[in-house]
Amino acid sequence: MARFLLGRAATLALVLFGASVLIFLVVRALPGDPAIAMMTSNATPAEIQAMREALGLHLPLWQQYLTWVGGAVTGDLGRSFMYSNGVAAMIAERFPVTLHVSLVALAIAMAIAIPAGVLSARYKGGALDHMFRVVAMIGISMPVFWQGLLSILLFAVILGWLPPGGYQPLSAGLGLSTAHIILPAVALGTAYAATITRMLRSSMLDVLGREHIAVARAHGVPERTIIWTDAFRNALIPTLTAAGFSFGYLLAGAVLTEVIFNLPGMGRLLYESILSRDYPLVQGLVLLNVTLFVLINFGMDALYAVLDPRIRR
Amino acid sequence: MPEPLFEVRDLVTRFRSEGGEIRPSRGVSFHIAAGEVLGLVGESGSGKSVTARASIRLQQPESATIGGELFFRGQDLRKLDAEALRGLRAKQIAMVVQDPAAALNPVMTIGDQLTRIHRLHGGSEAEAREAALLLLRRMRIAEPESRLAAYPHQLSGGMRQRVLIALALICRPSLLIADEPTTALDVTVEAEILALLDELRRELGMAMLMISHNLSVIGRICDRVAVMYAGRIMEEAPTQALLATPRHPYTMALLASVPRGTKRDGPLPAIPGEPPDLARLPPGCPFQARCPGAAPQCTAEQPLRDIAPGRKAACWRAEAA
Repeated sequence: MARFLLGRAATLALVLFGASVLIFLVVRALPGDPAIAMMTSNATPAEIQAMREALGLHLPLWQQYLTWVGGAVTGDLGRSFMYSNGVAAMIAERFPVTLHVSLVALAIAMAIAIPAGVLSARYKGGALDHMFRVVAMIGISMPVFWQGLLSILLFAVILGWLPPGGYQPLSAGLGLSTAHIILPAVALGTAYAATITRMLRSSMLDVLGREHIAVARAHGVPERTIIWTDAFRNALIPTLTAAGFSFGYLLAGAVLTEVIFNLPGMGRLLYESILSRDYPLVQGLVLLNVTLFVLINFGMDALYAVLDPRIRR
Repeated sequence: MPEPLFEVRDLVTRFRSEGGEIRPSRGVSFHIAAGEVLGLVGESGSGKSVTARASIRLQQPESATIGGELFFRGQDLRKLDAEALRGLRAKQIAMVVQDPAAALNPVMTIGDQLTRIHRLHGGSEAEAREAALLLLRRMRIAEPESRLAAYPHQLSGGMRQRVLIALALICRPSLLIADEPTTALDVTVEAEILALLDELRRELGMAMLMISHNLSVIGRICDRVAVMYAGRIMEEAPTQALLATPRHPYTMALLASVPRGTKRDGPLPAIPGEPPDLARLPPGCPFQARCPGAAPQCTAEQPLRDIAPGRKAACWRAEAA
């Protein structure tokens, strides 16, 4: 187990190094010069050059990279070109919002997907299965922002039960905070629930067709135990992959959802930073996303090892 | 004749497949007395496995439908509700299958799998563990204590099959469905496990439905044999009689295809032709296309009928003989 985790940790470091090089180069390959983007349209070439030097853009690429990575390891992601705040501080301000929404959305997704996926498989071809299939198709096909707009219309505008947008941290009180977070979390959560449900259903069906299920049934193991102990635990392994990726995507921030619900999250920050060619901010945000994705994968691998003894060895 | 422990009457299974409706069992009847071993022999695809499983109401595939009557100790299994059926299976019935790697739950320890079956009958965890250990010792598994904590993938194939048999015997069933229990094993391990299974069966007074395509396995442990072909029983007889004087042309062909002796004088004998497509069976005897003695009579339905005391065959020739 320890060796398994150590191996994964080494892979993680390697991926992060590769990703940092890639992020750094891709950002610089974007068309447009941040120095020009920051100046008024009548700036002289000399002024632009001065700005380039102030931003450190005149240095050779390898030197720029080392400065950035050297800082990143110590938690210093540089200063934003546009806001002249520390990138790390800006992210620290936005990340809790995205994390909060993502966790609630993932909880909602799993709370829907687990019973729906298991029941669809248990009563395959039945009315319940067809109903979940239709609902899932709608969930997959309907864009999250559209669902978000409809929910604002219904719950905020027509019924007036919930605020139409904005964010309140948990420290503002659980009730107030949840009232703000629930609509975006449901919009995001149901979208992912649809995919995870279909995934869980097909892995449940796969496991339920296996010989050990027939043997358990022949020996009179109760059907409920067969579904939840024999089948579900085996079916959970591929399903966790889908759930893990969903969580990764959620943490990267959902631009449209954040715009609609006026949430100060990571998605919007990334979108704005790309538009303004804010190299340090883009790099910092993307590097964080990659790190989170890799960490989630790492967590998933550790979970697989707990769930599946064949991986432990 | 005393009332049999288990009697199957006119069992029909059907399910839809791409080629049309498949009927792996087309009116199969057999009975097993308490403590008796009935062999069910046939080529792959003859429907023996589906039939045996359907006889205890296990549908495979799950979309399959089952027709007929399945009397266990005088009770029709088809008339039981799910809970009563489950209770009956837990107390009286067990199953061992061909592939022990697939038949054990990969994410549960051997100990958990064994004890939970024992506990279906009540009793404490400690009692269940004691019973599991005892049985693993009887199955000649070395270091049974440490095996309880092992997962299936940590055991060898032969060891897994022993565990699977222990799983079947732990609730002391009165009927065991053994679906090719030794096919996946080496010949030496096969002989050992067969002997062990037979020994424990006698000890428990357990009846057994032994499915195999291997006539030498059948010959070693079965009291009676039913030969299956394309969803039907073609011949049924006491084992020795069937092996010595087969009466149905299919049984004869099957026996002739068993390699004997060591002389290498030509290719191994095989039954000419292919087994029929279950979705497109001809009227009458399903074996007629491959039968050396086929005649116009064969296109008429050939019911399984008594041809001698304790012997049945589904062929007009067998009756005439």
